Amino acid sequence: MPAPDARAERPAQPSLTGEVDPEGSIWKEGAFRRDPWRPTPTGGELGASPLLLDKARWAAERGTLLSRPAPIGLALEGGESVDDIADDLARFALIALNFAKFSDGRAFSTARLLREKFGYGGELRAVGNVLSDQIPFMRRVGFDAFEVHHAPTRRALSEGRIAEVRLYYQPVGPAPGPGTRAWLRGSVG
Amino acid sequence: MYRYDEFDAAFVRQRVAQFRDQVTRRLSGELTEDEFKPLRLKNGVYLQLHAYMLRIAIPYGTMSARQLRKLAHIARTYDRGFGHFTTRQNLQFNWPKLSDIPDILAELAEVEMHAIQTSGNNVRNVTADHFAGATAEEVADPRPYAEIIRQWSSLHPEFSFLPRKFKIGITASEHDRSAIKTHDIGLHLKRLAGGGLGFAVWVGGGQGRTPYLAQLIREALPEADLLSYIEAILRVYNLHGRRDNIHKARIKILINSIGIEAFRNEVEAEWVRIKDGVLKLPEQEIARIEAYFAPPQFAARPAPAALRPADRSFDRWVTRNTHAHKQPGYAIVTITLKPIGGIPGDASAAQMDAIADMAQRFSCDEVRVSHEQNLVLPHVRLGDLWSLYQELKAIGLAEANAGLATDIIACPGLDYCALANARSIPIAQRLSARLAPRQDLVGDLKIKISGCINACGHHHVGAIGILGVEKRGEEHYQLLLGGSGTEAAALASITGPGFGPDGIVDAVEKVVDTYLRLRAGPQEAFLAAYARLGAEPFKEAIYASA
Amino acid sequence: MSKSSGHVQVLTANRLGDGAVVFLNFDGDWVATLAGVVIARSPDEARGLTARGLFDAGRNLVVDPYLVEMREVAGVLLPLRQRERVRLDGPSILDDVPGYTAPAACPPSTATRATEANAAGEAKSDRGEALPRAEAA
Repeated sequence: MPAPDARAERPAQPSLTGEVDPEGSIWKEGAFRRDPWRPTPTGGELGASPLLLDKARWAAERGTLLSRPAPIGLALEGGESVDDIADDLARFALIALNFAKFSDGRAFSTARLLREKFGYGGELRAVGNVLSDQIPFMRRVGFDAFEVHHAPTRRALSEGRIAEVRLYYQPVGPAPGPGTRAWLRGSVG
Repeated sequence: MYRYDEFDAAFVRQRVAQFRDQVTRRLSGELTEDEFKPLRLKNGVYLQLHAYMLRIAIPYGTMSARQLRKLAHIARTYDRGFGHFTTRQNLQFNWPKLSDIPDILAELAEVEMHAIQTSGNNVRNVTADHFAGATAEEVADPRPYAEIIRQWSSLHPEFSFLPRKFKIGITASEHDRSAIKTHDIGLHLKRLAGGGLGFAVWVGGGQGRTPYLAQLIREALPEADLLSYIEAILRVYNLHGRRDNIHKARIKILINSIGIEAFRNEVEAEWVRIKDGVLKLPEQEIARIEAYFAPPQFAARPAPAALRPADRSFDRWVTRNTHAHKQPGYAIVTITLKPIGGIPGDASAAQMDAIADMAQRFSCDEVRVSHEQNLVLPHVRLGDLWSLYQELKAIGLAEANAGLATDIIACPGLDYCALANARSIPIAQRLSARLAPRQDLVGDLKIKISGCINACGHHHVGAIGILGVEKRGEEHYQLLLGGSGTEAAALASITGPGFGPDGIVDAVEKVVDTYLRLRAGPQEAFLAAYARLGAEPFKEAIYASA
Repeated sequence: MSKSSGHVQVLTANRLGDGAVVFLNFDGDWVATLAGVVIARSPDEARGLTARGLFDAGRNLVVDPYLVEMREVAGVLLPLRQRERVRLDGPSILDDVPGYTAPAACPPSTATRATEANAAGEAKSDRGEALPRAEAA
């Protein structure tokens, strides 16, 4: 029976947090930061930097990648399943889920499965169409980093102006914040 | 009925503040229309043909007098003095200004109302039997479960960007007044074999371009598992529903494409993982919500119905528009918003105020909206029926036509809706006038009119269904026969080539003529006659050259 | 835009703040009437109008701009599509249906304050036409 509180395991590799930089693309831990991750080069050497790969590349070069000391990250499209690589999830210091359109909500379910079913404890990053009005939902399902290019969203984050309803009717993700509706959690488990 | 506690009140207030911020950012240009549109839809704000439209949630169709009065006030203050009750038990205003809507929502919040998730790709208003809590037919009041689902699905972070809208309906009687088989999830509350309450769960119903009736996914779900099971269904749908084509994005398409067996396997594989987790409903919490729906204090010895000599119109009204109540001495009253020749489902601010008064004095302060665009006063003493009838006559809403041919369901259609291809209201008006003289003779007959394939008028489940389309820039109407949204659910079949606006009214009349001519007697209702005779005699009559 | 049928096009949209149906006129304003509306009589002119619509939508004046095809009959513009006729004229509720009885005036209730100036009966569309709405009470 999987634990409802998901962050039980430490990742095999610690997640990376880039330097604070107002021009940086990654909002994480309360600030914009440079992105320490690089997309995988199309051919040749993998090098020694932290690399973000898609599932196909991971499958193709798994052996090589596992012998590399540098951190590995996984980049998934919204609809991609993680069931087939469930055993490897702890090896990724970063999993990035792409919101191809802001209306494509598949990654919200994928994020919850990663955190709650598979106990993924590394950085879970929202990329693609990340807008301020989706960010509160993203946080609640377990995203802790956001790649943001939309200028008004960047401003709203920097200024702490994301308008949000802070009371929640449904228990989601790790231990609920102070606003979560008590009765729905019951006294189970 | 449910009453907000501090948590609920704070929730809607925060939501209003959030939307006010979003509207401000839209008006200033910080948000483009593309970015704003999904946000405004989640607050029930559409851009329609002439103006914005605001759809206000009336959870499972239940309201207090105070809430109805607030709707009347909003109609007067911010709109053009009327509102439209919908086929999902909600209310629509057709002329609000975007810049006023945050204020309207703030006023609604004062009376525990909102417009959250009345549109958008999320869980919509959970509908329930409009006779709930009053009819003897139910095993228990289904509304506590509707309230539980409503709360759990409100601003659910995982399910706010589904492939498409999601509609849940609940019934607790064998006779299904909620049309659960036309819903994405239909729930039938019942007693389980081993004791206790639970649900038969149906999935994949839906109207629109490709109508489907729901299929049974689980025969007997214990009530404690309600939320976890729904979460499993929604998760499978969220991950696997199509997102490439808006017309193929409902769950009915997914289920039809992989089959109910495969779908059930996916759902139950996920459900097994989560069913004993935090979503399991504790009995005491179900009981706590049920307490809000406890029956009102019925009078110990209510006066019997006062007999009035020779008032046939009152008698007709009692026969047609009242329904047996589980409490002796009481009745359930239907107020049809279908005056002959009138606009189906509309009520003026003055009418709303008057009905609010009636609800307070005659119906234990409760009024319901049915998915057939009528209102219901659920708890009326027999001794009060006469007074109530007089007051309804005074506001023009005493037509004794519940379930008759003039009790027409019609979407707003091209007169209001930006999605529509044809007008439905004038067709409804003319049909009502044409059929009124014979409506008692004809008996039960549900006519449902939609102005486009989105089927908000539910034409697929009308005994007579009318679908408006656009043909070479002009309005054109298809005629369908034999549909039903009850427990004997069936999709109506198209008769053949369509008609113009005059032709469709004539065609419906010919269908009615044919029924009257060929029925086995007045006791054989339209649907039974249609089942027996088949479509041929009706088609012959409609398409016979003049 | 029809090359030979004599149809012309005008640019319409909904005003952002209140959703009202508006048309682009020769002064470059968005107004709720066809009087003085800019008429496109060629594909080039139509393209220009479309671009102007997108531009003004970007400036947050209007939402959903598009071209409406019209017939010109004795100087009067008539939309080709029923949809556009309804959009121009307002809801077409019939108030002359045989058998329709307007509901009688509602008795004042304790809850309603002040006299009931029936907004429905006095409602007018933005174009200053009375809505053909029969309902009173």
